[in-house]
Amino acid sequence: MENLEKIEKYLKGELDDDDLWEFKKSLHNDPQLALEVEAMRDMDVLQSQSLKIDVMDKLQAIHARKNRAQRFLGLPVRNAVAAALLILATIGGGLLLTQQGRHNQQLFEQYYSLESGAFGLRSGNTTLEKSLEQGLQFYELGDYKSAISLFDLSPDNLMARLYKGISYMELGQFDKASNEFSVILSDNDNLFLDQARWYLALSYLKTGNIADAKSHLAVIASDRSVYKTRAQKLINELENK
Amino acid sequence: MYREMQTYGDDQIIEGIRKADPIVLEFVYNNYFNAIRAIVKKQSRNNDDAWDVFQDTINYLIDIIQKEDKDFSLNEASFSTFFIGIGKRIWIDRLRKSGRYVLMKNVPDTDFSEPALTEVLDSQDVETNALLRIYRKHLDNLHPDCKYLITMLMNEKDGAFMAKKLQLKSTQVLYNKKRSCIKKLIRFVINDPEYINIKQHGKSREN
Repeated sequence: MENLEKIEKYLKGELDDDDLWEFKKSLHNDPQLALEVEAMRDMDVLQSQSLKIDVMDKLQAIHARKNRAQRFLGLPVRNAVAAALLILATIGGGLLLTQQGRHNQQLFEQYYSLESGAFGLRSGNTTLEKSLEQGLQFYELGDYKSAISLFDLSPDNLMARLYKGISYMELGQFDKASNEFSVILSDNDNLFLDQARWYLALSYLKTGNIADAKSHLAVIASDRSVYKTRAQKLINELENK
Repeated sequence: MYREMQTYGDDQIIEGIRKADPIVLEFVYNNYFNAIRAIVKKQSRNNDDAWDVFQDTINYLIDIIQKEDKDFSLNEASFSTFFIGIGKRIWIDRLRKSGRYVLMKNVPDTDFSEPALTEVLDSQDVETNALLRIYRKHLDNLHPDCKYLITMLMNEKDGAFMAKKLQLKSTQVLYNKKRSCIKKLIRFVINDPEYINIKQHGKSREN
């Protein structure tokens, strides 16, 4: 976005005739510039909505407070209750979950977040196969079984493999998830290596395979991945258990 | 601290929203967010969808209140029916615009017979509210300094005063910093899938 100053002048009606003519010609020929002007114009209109902004800020604070209250030890209450029941059940059966196991589960909950399918769905991505596009839409809706059945139609597409793997994680099928991520890593030259390695490490963490989790995290931490910082922190937390 | 649950009549709720009264807003959140979530949950497991629809519903209500000023009344409908009715139509509109509606397996048949949103709600207002929400979301994702700067300068706070407060050398440095923040914000916004959907839908409506 190189033209912000000119866009501002255009929107304020401050361009002289020559500049205005040039600018309008650019607007006609440059869709990106047209989009930026539209976004700036939207922003100008929206800033006048002071009551709505005030209400949204207050509701946001309420929503954040309620969400915090619904979490216990960093876990959603539902998960915390499930964890508590699990602990009670194992005590009843004469078994105790080890402290280490619980620690790993907490770390998984802390570091795992769902990858947005929007990356693949963006309109600029016109080469997506139809089945993959529909699979991503189901994925976005949280219908992971339907998503997987559509991703299965694109076995050679590594983006489909990535989202299939994450869908399996959402369904709690971590071994199947690990297989999908491993396929991506074995290809060794694609856009999804960082994400695949990160989710593979988390799948190993979840299933208690800490040695393999650490070895993948070490690779991420030594690279220039977007997950680098998170990987370093997670390694530290695993080692300072 | 224990706080007694306060209840409000419909007119008190409208008045509270008009004044952005935090206690009334909390009452509305406590009583209606779950109802909106239940509607949205039929088609989406994404909690953010419910939160987006809830915010858009409140903002649409503000549009109505502001347009009709002091003459606004709910007529025969209760606040509850009115609010949930708006929320439901906003959600259906969002599904339609995102192309997700046709993929739904479990949209109740009755939803298909709902009047189109444009027959009931002002689609321009619905769109403006969604845009406002998208901008606010990305503004929140910026560095706190950027957020502060954009918000304050939008409210036309004095540049020289702000430059001093942020310990910047000059007003020019402040404006340069603001421009860099706005560039980031605009870049996030124009790449937001919902923003792209809204704009594409707007173009197809014009053509």
